[in-house]
Amino acid sequence: MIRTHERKNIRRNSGNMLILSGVFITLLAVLALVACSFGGLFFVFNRIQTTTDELALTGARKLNEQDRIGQMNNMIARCRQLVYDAHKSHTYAYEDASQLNQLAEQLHDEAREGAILLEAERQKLRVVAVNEAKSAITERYEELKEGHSLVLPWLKVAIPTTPMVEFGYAKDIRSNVAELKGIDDLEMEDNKQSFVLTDSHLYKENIDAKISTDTELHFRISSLPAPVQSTVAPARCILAKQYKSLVAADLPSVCKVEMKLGVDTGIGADAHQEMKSTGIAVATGGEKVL
Amino acid sequence: MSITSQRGKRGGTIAEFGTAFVVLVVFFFIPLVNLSFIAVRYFIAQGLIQEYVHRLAQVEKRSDAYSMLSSDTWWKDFCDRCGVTVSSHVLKLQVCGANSGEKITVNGGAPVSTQWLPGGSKGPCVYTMDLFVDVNVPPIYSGGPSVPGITSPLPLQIAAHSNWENLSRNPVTTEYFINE
Repeated sequence: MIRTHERKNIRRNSGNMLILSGVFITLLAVLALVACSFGGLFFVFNRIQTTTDELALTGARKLNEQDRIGQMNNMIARCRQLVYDAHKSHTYAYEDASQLNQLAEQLHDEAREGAILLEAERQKLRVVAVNEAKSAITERYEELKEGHSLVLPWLKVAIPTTPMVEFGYAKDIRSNVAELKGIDDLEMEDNKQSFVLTDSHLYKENIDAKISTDTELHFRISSLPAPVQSTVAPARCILAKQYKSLVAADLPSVCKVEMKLGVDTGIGADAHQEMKSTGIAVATGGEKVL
Repeated sequence: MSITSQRGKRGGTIAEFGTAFVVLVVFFFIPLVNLSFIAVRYFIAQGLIQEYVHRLAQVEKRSDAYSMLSSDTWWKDFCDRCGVTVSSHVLKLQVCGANSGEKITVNGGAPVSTQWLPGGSKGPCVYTMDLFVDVNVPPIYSGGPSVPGITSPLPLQIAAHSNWENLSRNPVTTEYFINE
């Protein structure tokens, strides 16, 4: 018995601290790693924000591809001038030059028909531009989405959700159409109705610039950055407070993309969070009319 | 007699372990947790400032960025809530030219010279808003002799950058928005 007891006492006691230190250091390392991961959530957010901005820019660039919205705005303004002038000529011919009345009437009708056709094309363009922008965003999203996934034992970052896309216009961005000169009456009428801004001499954004002589026709001029001294405004991201939703059937010039990203910390029973990021971009500006 | 001399020595180990445990916790565990929180707070502040400079770079005019920086307090308040104190901040515009190494820094409301503007002779240029923020990042426990990072806040400078977005001109003044 005594021998057995001695043998037990002979067992070494050193090494306890080594094990304890090892456990503590491991625990600390894990804590530090987990803590840094939580700090890294901001990094994850910045990443998803960059992707959302890129998608918004992709959509915005597509909206005014080859200056289609800018050209439509300019055509509408010129068509409006033509209708106004044709009506004026027709009135003059009817009252003072009856031999030209038939021709004037025909020209007026053609101008009106042109305006109606242009309005129909404008509505088609709206659908085409929006659909193409959505397709471009979806295509780019498919390319980028896989890069976000991250799986660590303590942090799981999911693939971002399919982007939600909205179209609108930007506050304080007028139209790209410069005030048209040549018809004094129309200029006066525009000034009276405040269609044209006195400082920039540009038409206001998202207006239906109906003419008093023919109120049945619509001349919708949309918001788009105007060219200034041959400088075309490049597409760019803007702040959320500048975004405005479209209220009428105007052509959009701003693309808003929202995405959500699931982040699971893996700690606790209900540690799932969703990060939401919004990217807003304004389309490339209108080009200078030659 | 022989039995008394063979008394167990394990009680001595318990006493040693207690002291060693206290030493380990006080001089190793707590300081290390203290230090690790500086890193966490730094990461949070860095992320927040990066997000903020991104917003500053998206405003319409450059003067708007300066006025936004001076009027906004939410980001400082958020830093405060995370324990990080903002002591000072500087916002600059850095313009990098087409040739490598060519760059200028524009402070405050000073205009960018024509050659560095879009379409200028130094172009095409890259315009970056740089925000430098001096912060004090404290550990969880502070007090006693002032040792930055261990018993008192660690002064650090956080730099964040974001590309300037609006490269168009103002239709009213015909000036570039970057110079307004």
